[in-house]
Amino acid sequence: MNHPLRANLEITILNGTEWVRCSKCQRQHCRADEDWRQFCKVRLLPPTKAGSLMSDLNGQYLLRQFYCPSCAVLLDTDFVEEHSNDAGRA
Amino acid sequence: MSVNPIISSVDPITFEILSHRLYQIAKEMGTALERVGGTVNTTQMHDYMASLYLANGDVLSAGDSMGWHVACAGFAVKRIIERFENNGGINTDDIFLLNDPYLAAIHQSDVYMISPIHFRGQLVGWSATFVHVMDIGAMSPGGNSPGATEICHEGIRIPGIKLVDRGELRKDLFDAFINMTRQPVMVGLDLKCEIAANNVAKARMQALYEQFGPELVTAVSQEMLHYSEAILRRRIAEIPDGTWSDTGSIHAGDTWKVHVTLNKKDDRLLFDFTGSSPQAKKGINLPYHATFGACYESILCTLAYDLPKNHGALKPIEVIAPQGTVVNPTPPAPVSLNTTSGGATVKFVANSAIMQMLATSEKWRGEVMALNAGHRLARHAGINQHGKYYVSTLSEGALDGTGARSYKDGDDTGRGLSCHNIEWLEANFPLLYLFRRNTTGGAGAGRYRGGTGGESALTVHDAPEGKIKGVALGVAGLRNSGQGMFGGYPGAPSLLMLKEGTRVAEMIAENKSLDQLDEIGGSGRLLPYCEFDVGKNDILYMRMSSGGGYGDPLEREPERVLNDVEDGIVSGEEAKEIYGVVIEGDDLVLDLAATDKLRASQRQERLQETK
Amino acid sequence: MNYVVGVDIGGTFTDCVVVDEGGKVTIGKSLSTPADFAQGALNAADDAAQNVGLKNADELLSTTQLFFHACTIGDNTLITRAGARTGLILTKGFGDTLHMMRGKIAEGLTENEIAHRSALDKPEPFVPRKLVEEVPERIDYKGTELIRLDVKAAEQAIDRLVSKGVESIAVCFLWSIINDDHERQLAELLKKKYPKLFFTLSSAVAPYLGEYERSATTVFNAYIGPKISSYLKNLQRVLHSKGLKREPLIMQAYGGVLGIEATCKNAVGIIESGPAAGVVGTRFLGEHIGEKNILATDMGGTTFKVSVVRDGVIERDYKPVILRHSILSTKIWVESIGAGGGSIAWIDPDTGLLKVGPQGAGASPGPVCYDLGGIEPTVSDADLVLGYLNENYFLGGRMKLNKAKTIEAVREKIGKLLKMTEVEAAGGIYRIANSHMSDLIRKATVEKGHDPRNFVLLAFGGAAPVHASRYAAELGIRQVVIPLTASVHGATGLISSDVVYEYGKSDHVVVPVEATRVNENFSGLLERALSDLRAAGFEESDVLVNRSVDMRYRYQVHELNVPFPAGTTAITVQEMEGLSTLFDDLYEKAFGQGSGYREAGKEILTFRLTATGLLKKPDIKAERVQRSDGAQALKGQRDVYFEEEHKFVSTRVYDFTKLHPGVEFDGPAIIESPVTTIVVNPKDRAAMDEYFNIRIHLGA
Repeated sequence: MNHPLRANLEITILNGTEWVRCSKCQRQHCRADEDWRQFCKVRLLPPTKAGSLMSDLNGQYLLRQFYCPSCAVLLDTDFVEEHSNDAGRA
Repeated sequence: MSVNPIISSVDPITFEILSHRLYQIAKEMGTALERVGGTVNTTQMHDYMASLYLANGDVLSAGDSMGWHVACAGFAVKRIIERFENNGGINTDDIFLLNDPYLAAIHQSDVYMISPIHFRGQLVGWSATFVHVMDIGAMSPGGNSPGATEICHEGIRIPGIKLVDRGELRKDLFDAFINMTRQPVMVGLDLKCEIAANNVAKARMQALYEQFGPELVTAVSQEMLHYSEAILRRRIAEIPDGTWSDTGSIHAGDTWKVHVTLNKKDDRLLFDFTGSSPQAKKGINLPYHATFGACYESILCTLAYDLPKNHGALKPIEVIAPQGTVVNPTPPAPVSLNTTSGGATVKFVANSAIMQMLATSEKWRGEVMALNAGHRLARHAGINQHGKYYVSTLSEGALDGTGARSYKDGDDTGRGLSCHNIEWLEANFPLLYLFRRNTTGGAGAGRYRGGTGGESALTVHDAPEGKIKGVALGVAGLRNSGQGMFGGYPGAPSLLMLKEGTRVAEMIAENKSLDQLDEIGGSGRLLPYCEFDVGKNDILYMRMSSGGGYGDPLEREPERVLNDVEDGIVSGEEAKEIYGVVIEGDDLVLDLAATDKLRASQRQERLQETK
Repeated sequence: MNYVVGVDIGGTFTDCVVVDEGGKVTIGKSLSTPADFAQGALNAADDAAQNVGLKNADELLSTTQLFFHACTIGDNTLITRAGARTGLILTKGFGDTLHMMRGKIAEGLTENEIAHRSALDKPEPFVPRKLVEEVPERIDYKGTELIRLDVKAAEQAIDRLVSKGVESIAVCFLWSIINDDHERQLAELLKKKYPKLFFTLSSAVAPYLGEYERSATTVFNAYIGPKISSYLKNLQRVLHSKGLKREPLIMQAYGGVLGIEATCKNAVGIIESGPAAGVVGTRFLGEHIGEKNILATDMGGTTFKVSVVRDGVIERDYKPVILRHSILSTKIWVESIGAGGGSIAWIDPDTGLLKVGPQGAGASPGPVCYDLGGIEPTVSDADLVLGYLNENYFLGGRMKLNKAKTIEAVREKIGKLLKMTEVEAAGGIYRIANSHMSDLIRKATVEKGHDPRNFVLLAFGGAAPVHASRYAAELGIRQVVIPLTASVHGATGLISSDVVYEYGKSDHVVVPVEATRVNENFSGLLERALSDLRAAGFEESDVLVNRSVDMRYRYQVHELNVPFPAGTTAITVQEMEGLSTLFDDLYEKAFGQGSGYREAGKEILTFRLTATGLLKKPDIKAERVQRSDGAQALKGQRDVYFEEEHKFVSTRVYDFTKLHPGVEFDGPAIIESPVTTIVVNPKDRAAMDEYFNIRIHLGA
């Protein structure tokens, strides 16, 4: 059954398989059992891109953003420790 | 429309009336606590609990109490039953005291009073309260002790004593308890008010039993539990099955992780904290019952917000927390800092998982809200301008901004408790506030922005010792404050900063306003979990959490961004950089055409830079 | 013949009560005229005048000794956001004080609303952030000036506000309650440059601790001030032109009246003054019937309100919540919930449970039985189905009720879903509504340490006499009083009022405190009081002075108001000790034995003085009492469903207009009057007293 996943992402069923797709441009990102973040455009930015009060985080963290590769809508924002392979939520 | 009634053994009218009466009684208890006790913790921070229980210790009605405390108090009642039923007995008009974090309390400052309710000689139920007392005889004043490495550093720890014996206060035990603390008078007052609140509950419940009879009250009680459980299960079952997870960090010198995986299948929820760090030699550890309580609270605030808070709402929830971790420590791991560190983080990840779950349901996605993961706060102590020693809390937490919702902004400085008026603070403590206001640039950006948090600064004034002592609490670093949701940006970090050697005194002498920190000089350092002094020409700066945003800021209506800039919440620069909205000149004119253009180019930019 | 006149302007109706020298009471009524309320006042006066036997309002007003007035214009202006464009000036660094609201997002919300956290929002502010200006200045807790008022910055701030079209300015500086120099300096600047601009200083309108609440109070005053001023001055002009010689006296929210000038200075004092009139009337009635402990309950169409008179004194609220803001203006204490004759009964789709309210059907479309298009069953509809209301004699026959339609609505919308008959469903609605009201009364009394069994319950408002006996019985109350003037209770209260001035001063002192300090504080307040009352035309011998203090145990936040013995003589050391003991007693009464921790010590925070200019009260005539069983007033019988009997019972119906003082009969009975229906339950007994009030003795 079709249902939302989160803002700008929804689960849709095609030929019996569940897919994750963009709610804005309908781009099919991946199957529902895959990690949609792996199928997004990702950017790493300095923390102050999130506002001047984030300057304390300079040198320690990077701002990470995930976008729809087709319409560029922002899907997720988090921070990662600058010198690690940390999978988010610093 | 045909409806299957949830209630079967009692007529729905009587159920409605009696269940409301039980809720009222629990509320009256809470009001009695607030009014009688009236300390900063109870009145401003709502850091108390008052609830009713069945004879076996299951939660019957929790009024408006904070969810996790209700669950913990349920454990407390059961611990008292175990300890006393065959040893000392549980008699009419007894009242028990317990504050052991390894049994039911979250940390020792949370002092529980547990009171059996008898009707015609039979034990029919319990009432329980807790209050966060102002001191508990720990290493640091106020209880939260950054220097503690084991639980014995953290104050008196009672596994259960009979403080009131058949209506008689045991003065020896009462005095022994308060004697351990730095504030025996205030702590004594807190204990007295808990006794009063429990007496209120007992009297009301006995009157209820008298009026309706034990059979009917028991039947309604059972139906209330069944009611909450049945409706909650139905609601859970309506949501698509799935698994969601999140990780939070506790920064307190070192870093510890809290990881949760939420699994929903049919009408059951399983929170699994496997993957969380081993327990610490710092008071951040959260006992199992509190971890459980945090998960319970995340449901009470969302799926069960309109249901009676009782044991029934607990039944669909299961919590796995491996022993020896920060979320299920074993003695002698210390706990005194936990509510604002481990506790805040557990609540955050549990809520985050729940929010992700709710977002998948058409019916419930309106309840999604970006969450705060804590804030910094400080206890302070010293001799006040009237010559009296005091210990208190700088309770600015009410000024946290709340997170954005899926359909509207968060609220600026609107967490819903309350903080003191500046005038009240300056009348009671040797302080002078320089400012207290909204934080410009604090709010997490998004299609819907978070609420901005408050910031304040103070120095000492007329302090007989020339200074006051502070204890800095709350998770430091990034992982406090509001976390963004589904693309939304986080709120600015909450922080405590001490500026030393400033020109405050000089500037006052020059009749210069003190509201711009940059102009006051001195050298600033961020305060981790620690003790610190605020002396002459020192300034303590506190910034509360700001709420996280929801969704993509490039989708926020430009007119809303204009309002934000006019109100001083968002700066003109941020409007451009983050929202792609162009606002020109001193009279703040919105340029829609330039905005469209800028946003288009920002979208392109997103897709261009390489990973 | 001289008259005393009271005009009470409500949301729908304007009532006028006239009492002549012999104590005879006459009533007039007219629809309220929101476009120009004064017109409705004149219409009601006209109606009353004619009922008295005079030609018109002119004849009445020219022989009026005292003219009292209550209106809802203060509330309306706030609720409809129709006040002045208001600016706010605060201490630099604290410009967000009003908007922060100390974080209190949940203030003034119902329990259900608070539980729904994701939906919480702060109320829309009365002053947008862009109309708040911050001025450099600073005073400390001792009243010492730390930073001078920056006059240039102040002038620029005022200019900016005026350039933005501000019509009224509120000023609130930190610690102005101890040292008001800076606020007064600012006032001088305003008066010099913008003499026509309305402004309010916090130190004048609410000289009490707490800059958030004080600024909110000051803002409310500045916001409604211009409108109140123009309304009252116009009213005075109009009445004067019609022959009224003396100044109209205006009801304040704390249950006393003030002249026009004094009211205009303190406009915030008339917010929610309507209910105050009713409670004053309650106390007055209590004096006549010898009851000092009264619960005044008002069950209207949508709201149920409770106020308390204890030992002949109206209970007050010193920090009322108005439109979700805590303010520092004295008010009678009122608890209210959304429960009334128009409350809608509905089945919760989630749970299948029957709920009543808080949504109401309002005046339009109204209950189903009014046949004005209402389709949702209400409490009044249940009352009709149960047989309490007479479909052929509602409002004295002026309105016919559609019983068939009502029965169908209750059956289809409620009964069927609960698998109950319409009668059982109506009984359930009735019971649930009553339990909401008794729960509220319980909250109002028990939480304050009062035992409801020690009170009589007064019932006014349209629907109350149908329900009062039941919600009173729940609490063990033994007597319900339904006054003759129940339908115009507010106006009746007006004419029994005194002129009352309230004064206060924040001064934080630890007990024991020297009596000299206490007397200094009070004498300052007394001086102002005597001056004001003298200007209002009172001799010192006609002035009653009450002094009290707000006290608390140290380290606590909550305060209790503790009275001194009445009078103006200097407070003695013994009286101070007596005060301390009284506080301990009051505290334990409110919160339980042993709840006070005397070792904590006590402190006083606020000194209060109430000065009452006693007015001659109308002498309400007591009729001769003649015992009878009321048989001559019997107009018939009908079957009425009584919950406690679980069945329909054949019930006597009486015509109120044919009852006389001394009549007494047992329930079950119904008394029908042109303005209300009174239900007497099976185990109760009804009597009419010498003032034509109906007294119901419960369980007699």
